Amino acid sequence: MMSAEWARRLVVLGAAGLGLAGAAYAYRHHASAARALPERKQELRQEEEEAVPTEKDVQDFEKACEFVSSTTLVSAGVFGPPDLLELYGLYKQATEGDLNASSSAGWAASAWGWIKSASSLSPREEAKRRSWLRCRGMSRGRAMTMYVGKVLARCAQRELDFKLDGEPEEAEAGWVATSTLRDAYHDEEDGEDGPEEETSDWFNAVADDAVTADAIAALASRATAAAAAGETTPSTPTTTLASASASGSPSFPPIEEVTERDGKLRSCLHWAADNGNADLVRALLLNRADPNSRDEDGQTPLHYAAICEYREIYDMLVGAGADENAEDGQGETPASWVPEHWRGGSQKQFIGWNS
Amino acid sequence: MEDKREIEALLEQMHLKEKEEAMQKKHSFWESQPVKQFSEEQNSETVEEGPVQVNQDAKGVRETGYALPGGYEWCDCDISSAEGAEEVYTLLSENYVEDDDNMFRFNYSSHFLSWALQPPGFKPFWHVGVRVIKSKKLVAFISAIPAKIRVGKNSPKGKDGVSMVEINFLCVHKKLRTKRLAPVLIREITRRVNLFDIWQASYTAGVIIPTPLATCRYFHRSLNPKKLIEVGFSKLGKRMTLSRTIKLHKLPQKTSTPGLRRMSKEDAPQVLELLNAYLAQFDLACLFQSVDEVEHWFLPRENVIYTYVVDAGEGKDGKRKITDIMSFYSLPSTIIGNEHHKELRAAFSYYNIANTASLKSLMEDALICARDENFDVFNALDIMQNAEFMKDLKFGIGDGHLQYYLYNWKVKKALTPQQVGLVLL
Repeated sequence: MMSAEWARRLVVLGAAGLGLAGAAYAYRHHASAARALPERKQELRQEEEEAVPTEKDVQDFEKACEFVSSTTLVSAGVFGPPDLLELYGLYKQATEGDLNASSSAGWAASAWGWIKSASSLSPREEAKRRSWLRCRGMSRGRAMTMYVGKVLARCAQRELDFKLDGEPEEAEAGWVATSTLRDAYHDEEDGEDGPEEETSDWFNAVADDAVTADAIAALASRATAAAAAGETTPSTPTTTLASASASGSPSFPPIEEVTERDGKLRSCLHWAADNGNADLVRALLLNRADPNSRDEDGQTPLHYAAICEYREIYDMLVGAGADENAEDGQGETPASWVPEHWRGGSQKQFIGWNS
Repeated sequence: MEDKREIEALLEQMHLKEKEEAMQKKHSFWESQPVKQFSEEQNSETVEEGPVQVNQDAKGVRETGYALPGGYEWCDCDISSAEGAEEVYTLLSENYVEDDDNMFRFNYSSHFLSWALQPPGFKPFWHVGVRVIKSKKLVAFISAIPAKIRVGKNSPKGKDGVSMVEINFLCVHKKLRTKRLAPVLIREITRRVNLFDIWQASYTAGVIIPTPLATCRYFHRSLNPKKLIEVGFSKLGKRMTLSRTIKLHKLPQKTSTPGLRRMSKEDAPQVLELLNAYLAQFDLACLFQSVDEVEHWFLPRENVIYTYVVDAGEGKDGKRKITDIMSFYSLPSTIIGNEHHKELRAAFSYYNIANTASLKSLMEDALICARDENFDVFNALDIMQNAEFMKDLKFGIGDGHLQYYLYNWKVKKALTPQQVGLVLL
């Protein structure tokens, strides 16, 4: 890693002494190191001689320009006058192409004409024009890469930290440290990976809140259909349910799995309540999931809904017969967890099979 | 448990690796500055403690500001005016530090800024801004405030405190990050501080630059786990329920320390004494200079600073006796791209001194007070004695480090977090 970086620096450093051609080489070398172009592609690229600048070329060029404009003003001495002159010519060539045709034709026509037109300019402007003229015939893309190469080479020489692909200077974004919680919330006894569970795929999907809307709708309609048929228990899955489950969600549960529990005695209804999944809670209740089932701590789904402050689910469970005064192992009731701002007007309505 | 230790070790390695990488990187700016260099870390015994550059004369400091890129100019920001504070607030709130995933951005309030930047002895000259000449838009900022800091309680040069500044709120507009303004800002604030014959500074950063004086870690105590999960500040482990998480983090209804109340102006002289007595044990600490200073930094301000004291009642001299102090400041973050939540309200532990109460119960009361003030999370560094209560009070380890730095001052050996008794805002 390090040695490759140094090799690149050395190449770039050597190239810096070779003027424009060296600069272009330095840039290409940088480009191939940074982008790891396949060799064949790179050959093609060299053949085309960057006639049409790629988006990346333009980006690099803009970065290099900004760097030059800020560096010259901030810490003098990085780019001397000859450098700047050369860069100026390349810049004009890259952004505007050949020096204005009519005037340059005039210049070419006679030495006298050139001297005459130049004499009206300050020596500084004259030198700038000459630098631009020197790039005549160069494609814009090539001028851009030459420019970037020149900047890179000079920076390598001066051991300046200018990188095209690099991140901004570490101080630029400010100094304050940010931090968020590193570890997921977990039970001490289980560790971060959670307890070992041997529950069904369906149950796992409910616990992970990964049941599709289709499967929930199918679960709900199965119960409604069963109720309409006057059966005391809903029937086994119908074909429509099977098709709902075929679309990637876990296979539809036979009715006994609505009563499945995990290692901590939590039911599907506990998990649906904890996840705040009101639709699934409704569908499970329609399938006669027990709203008063208890986990190992004696808590009901209603405890969960109260603690998590899911009002819709809380009301739904109460409507389905959940006991607001069921004490858990520590003697706490769902009602005791109800937040202050819920009091006054809890709607205990539930429209389902028992209403 | 063994796994856990392995993970801890791995993370420490990761941080070491981060440091190693930082040490191999070229820091062209910092290598030109009077700070301890990475190369000096290896043979730190030869490092001489104290200022890097000595016998400096304020008369020799350049009188004009450093050159800026064309189109920009220096300015003093007037934090004392509502518009001035608002302007800095806007720059910071839109461009200040974001976390690695760009979910949160610090959102210091303008009230907070006018508190943090105007302690006794502050200078508008040290509230340095960069403006676009044409539009006058503020595009960069850096600040210094005066402070007396002890460096090394056994260091002959540093033990009685060094008059220095605390550098903070360095911020460059997002669109100007390639202009390398930060080094110019640092040079300029250094110049402006040097003009007042002050030659040292302390500052903190999340990044590693040459060379940290101490590397500390953030810890977070969840007060509102449901919201913290919803905004992505934390997450539920596999097969962990939200209800259980909420139950685990539920705090008692009321504080337990008898005599705990908000600090008032009359308490300031006693708070000053308690602070300086307590902070004497740390190698890096603020030496509070006056009652005024204590009043400024500690008197409660809504949504800025919250300070509580334990009032032991009237003593024999008829004066109320203050025995313990507990304090935290408010530093919310903007939540980026969340429909339901706009702001994460975070309380940050400030200075806590437990003389009659246990530190653990005093800090539990801090959590309760912060919850009652509607904070979502309580953050603390592992500095001072903070590591003592973190496990019992259910703080979780953070993924961020905070590095402490000194400018123009070297120490032989880096400090442990427990040796640090300084909180920078």
